[in-house]
Amino acid sequence: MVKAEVIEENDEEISILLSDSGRAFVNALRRTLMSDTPKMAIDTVRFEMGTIEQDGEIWETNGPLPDEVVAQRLAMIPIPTKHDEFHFQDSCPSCAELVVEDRGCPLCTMIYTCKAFGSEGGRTVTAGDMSFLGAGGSISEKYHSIPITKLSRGQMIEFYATAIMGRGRDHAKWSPVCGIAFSPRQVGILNVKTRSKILWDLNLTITAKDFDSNGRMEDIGKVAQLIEDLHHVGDGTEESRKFKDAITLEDVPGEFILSFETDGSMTPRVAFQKAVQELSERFGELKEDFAAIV
Amino acid sequence: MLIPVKCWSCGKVIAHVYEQYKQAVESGEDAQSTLEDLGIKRYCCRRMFVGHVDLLDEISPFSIARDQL
Ligand SMILES: [Zn+2]
Ligand SMILES: [Zn+2]
Repeated sequence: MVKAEVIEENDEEISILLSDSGRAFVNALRRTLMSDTPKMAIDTVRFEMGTIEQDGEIWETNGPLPDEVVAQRLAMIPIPTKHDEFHFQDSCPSCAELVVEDRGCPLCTMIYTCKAFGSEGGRTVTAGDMSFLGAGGSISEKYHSIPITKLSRGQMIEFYATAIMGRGRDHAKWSPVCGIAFSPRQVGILNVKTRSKILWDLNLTITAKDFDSNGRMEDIGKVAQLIEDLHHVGDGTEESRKFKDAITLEDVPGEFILSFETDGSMTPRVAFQKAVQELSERFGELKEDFAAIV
Repeated sequence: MLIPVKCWSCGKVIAHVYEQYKQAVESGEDAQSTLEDLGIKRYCCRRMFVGHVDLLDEISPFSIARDQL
């Protein structure tokens, strides 16, 4: 059974050590995180068109960016995703039986509205100008400064944007993770004490004391630092001629470090849990199918 | 035009810190250390900032309602 241990974690980044595992499995997890983890994203936008006269001034629903570009930008904004409150439209308990065009209810959609006017010299309309119809779905404060468009005097924008649950395989806007990668866990091995002095003499972060009495270094953080330090004596450097393989890195079989960031729509921990759940359901289905055939 | 919301290569949301980046660089700060402070680590995301040209202000005068021109 694969064991997962969180090495480092904050609101948007995580690094996980997966042991008792294989490259194919970790890659399946990586791909599931990218393309199969449910997430809310804006899918349809209704732009109001027309001219408004207000206090003797004429405002036209016009702007430098075409509606398509605005809609695309809206789709990229991280929508806070609550998996226990919202459903996929095709499995929504109250509107799944309806034809596709008629679907959409408080259990499966989040609606944002925005009405903004331009000003002399230009006013940037940001994600913070969008208000959520309902409670608890507002875009997080951190992302309020995402610019949507910029309006001059006489220009205005008014739209209703509807977010629905989706998966990254259909569109990247539904992919909650970014910068996702994994690498085998490595340990540092001190092969030749005399020649490694070349590295110590460069006065970088790692010193001989960081290796244990057997000449091994296992701490994940220190090994990461060692990998960086070794670039100074690695291929293409003058030092590499003498240094040769005084210190080497060795892969730990079956252990991988998976690290990724989320776009802010959910915490990395939630994304990981959802991905694991999706993957195990997928494997479960496969198992049932096999059982039916054999 | 307007800074893209996400990095084209990795998908990180970057647009929310662009204003801070622009102000820092305009006030003479170093682009490298500014990007580091803003948590923009990968070079795919960094080129989004360094290579961006704000052209929206240049074209916006051409999209004002016709009867006001
Ligand atoms: Zn519904
Ligand atoms: Zn990037």
